[in-house]
Amino acid sequence: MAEDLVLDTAIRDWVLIPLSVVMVLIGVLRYFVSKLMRSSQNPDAKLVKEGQVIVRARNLRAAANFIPPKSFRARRFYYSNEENGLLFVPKGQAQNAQAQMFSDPNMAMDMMKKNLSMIIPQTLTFAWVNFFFSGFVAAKIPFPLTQRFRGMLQNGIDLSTVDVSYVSSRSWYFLNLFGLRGLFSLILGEENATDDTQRMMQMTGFGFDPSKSLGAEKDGLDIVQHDWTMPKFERRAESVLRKLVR
Amino acid sequence: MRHSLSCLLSSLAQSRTLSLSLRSSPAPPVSFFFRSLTQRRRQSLPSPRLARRFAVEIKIVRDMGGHDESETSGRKESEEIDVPIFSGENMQSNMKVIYYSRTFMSIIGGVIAGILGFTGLTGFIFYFLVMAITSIGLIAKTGFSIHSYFTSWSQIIFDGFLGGLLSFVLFWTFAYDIVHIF
Repeated sequence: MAEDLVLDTAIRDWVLIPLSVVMVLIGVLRYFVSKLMRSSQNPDAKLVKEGQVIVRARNLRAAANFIPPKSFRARRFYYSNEENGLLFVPKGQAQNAQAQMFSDPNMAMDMMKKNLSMIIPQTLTFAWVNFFFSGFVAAKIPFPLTQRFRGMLQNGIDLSTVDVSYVSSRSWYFLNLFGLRGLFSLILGEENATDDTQRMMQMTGFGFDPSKSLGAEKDGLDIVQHDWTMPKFERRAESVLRKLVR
Repeated sequence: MRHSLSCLLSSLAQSRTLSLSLRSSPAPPVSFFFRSLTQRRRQSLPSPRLARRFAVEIKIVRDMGGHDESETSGRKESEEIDVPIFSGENMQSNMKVIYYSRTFMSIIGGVIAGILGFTGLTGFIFYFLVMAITSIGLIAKTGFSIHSYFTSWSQIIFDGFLGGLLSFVLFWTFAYDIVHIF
């Protein structure tokens, strides 16, 4: 069962290395194409304003302890005031914004473009691999697997006595697909978007409900207990000085 | 009278009751508070020697505030009083440094494991060994003062541990096949 197959050197030269090189190049190409095709979206002024308000409220919440209590209360009132507070949004308007965002044709087009640029290279490469590189043993994975993986990894090889470690080129393709993500993040920087899960997170970020986040910020701001740290900073300065003196 | 009041306030600062009293009582006028602060400072400087040290200490703090090459100090925390001041982008860039280091080391480790001919469980043990070496290297890079760069131990040790596994396996298979099978 565990006999060592002797594999042709030509397989290494013409299957493993070209497949890896092609996948790396396609990844790089996809990165540049997505960069070029990213249409400059004119940002909606209202959305940007709301986003900035959220950022300001978050900063206030984070640094609340560094300003005197009265000024903190004044700022909090400015944000969560009932009549014209920035974070207070009546319920009726909120639903409109969300519905409008989803039916916006520009955003739908962008999502479609991102989807296509992700799926088409993968599909094409997979079809190419299946057509050219099927029916022979391509590689040996260095760790043993159980028999249940045989159907998945050895799809083109019809011998049932070959060790499961000897896999076909389809599994080499999948191994490359997942393993080259790390390499892409190294050579392409952060904005490579070759990962499906990252893309999913970006897409759900677009459908973000602004009123919900405003309400969340308002609640968070209301919860904050103000504890002015300036009096304590004197003790801190004193202790630091004492350490220096000694 | 003012001096004793401010001394009392400062001694109360150690206990938790101070925060309660600050919230319930009306806030004192700001000018009065500042005047008492400056008065206390003048009284607590007994000699000119301490004043000079104070000036020196400010200079030292400004020099240490510069950036390292790859990691930036993201947190300042005093010993007795817990006032965490986080710099968000510093902490994010620190996490990115950890991620890049682990990815790179897992790729290199995969190539090494393939060349040396590890199979099966030995290879995965080697992967964990490489991750441990990466963690030790990162800890040494922070100069063993983790808390000035990261929030907790678990971030620098366990973050991205399994993220590099797939890259490791890919390059391990690649190197193993090229060297041993073909």
